[in-house]
Amino acid sequence: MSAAPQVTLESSDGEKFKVDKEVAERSVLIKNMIEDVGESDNPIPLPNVNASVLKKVLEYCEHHRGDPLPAADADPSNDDNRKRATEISDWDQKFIQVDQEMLFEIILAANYMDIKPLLDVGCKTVANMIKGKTPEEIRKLFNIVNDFTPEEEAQIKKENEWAEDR
Amino acid sequence: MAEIPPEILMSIFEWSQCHKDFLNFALVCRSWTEWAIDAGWRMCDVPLSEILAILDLAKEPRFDVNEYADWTKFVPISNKVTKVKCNFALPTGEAINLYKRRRQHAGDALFQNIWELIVNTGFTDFLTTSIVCSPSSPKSIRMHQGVLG
Repeated sequence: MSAAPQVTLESSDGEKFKVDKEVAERSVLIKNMIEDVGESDNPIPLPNVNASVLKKVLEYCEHHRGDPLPAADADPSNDDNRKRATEISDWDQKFIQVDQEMLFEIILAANYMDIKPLLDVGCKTVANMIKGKTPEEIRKLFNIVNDFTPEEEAQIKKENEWAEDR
Repeated sequence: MAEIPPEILMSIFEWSQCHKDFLNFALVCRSWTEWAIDAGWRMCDVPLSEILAILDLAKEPRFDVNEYADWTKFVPISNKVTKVKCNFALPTGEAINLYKRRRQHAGDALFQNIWELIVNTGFTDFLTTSIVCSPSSPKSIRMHQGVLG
């Protein structure tokens, strides 16, 4: 039995990761890169992802290596998909229990590397964190400064008062 | 978190279902406002059907536009809407009325920026009525008919 084909990925800080091609190709970005340049021994550079984040992302790809590829129409504006919003599998939930900075790094990396299921897990996790919270609670949670004038705040409330009691 | 790209903010907001949430998101900080309101409108199936009802386009309108004095509160936000998909029976004539009607209420017109109206003429129930907001400004209105997938 011959060994599975492998590729080498290089993080922004120069660390090299040798992984099975099947695992790396969970990333549509990498899949397209391999298709474009053909197989080669040169490492694939990922200038937007550092080693600690890439390690985490590859852990996800490794666990989900055999999953069917997501359907193109699996977007949250579809009602069924939205109803599943709070549903994150046990493994994914454990996986995404990281500090806030890492959570956003993972989301950014999933977006850049085009790994839709991982992007969804990250975004759902943040969505679950901010659901049902007041603006002040959300600001506190993420260290966001309130940059509205009282007039602006009142204006937004006025224009959107239809949403108040829904 | 404040510097998160808009497309990711949208992906986060779109997992919410409660309209109050979108308003709360809009009130967090300036960089969130526009995206939260857009996401809210993208998701707001029910208010749209009510708005259509206000404009007595739905089969059994729950409100009469003259009786429902509050409809003007939808005006500023409805003008962000560029695309409407209606998955309920809406005869062609009435669909055209929606387009015409937006011009009749000069000054206070709802949906002034609609440029695409997708109408299903097959069903009688509200299955998927959705709207799309887009910052790009419309050139012309397109109308499709047929069963929505």
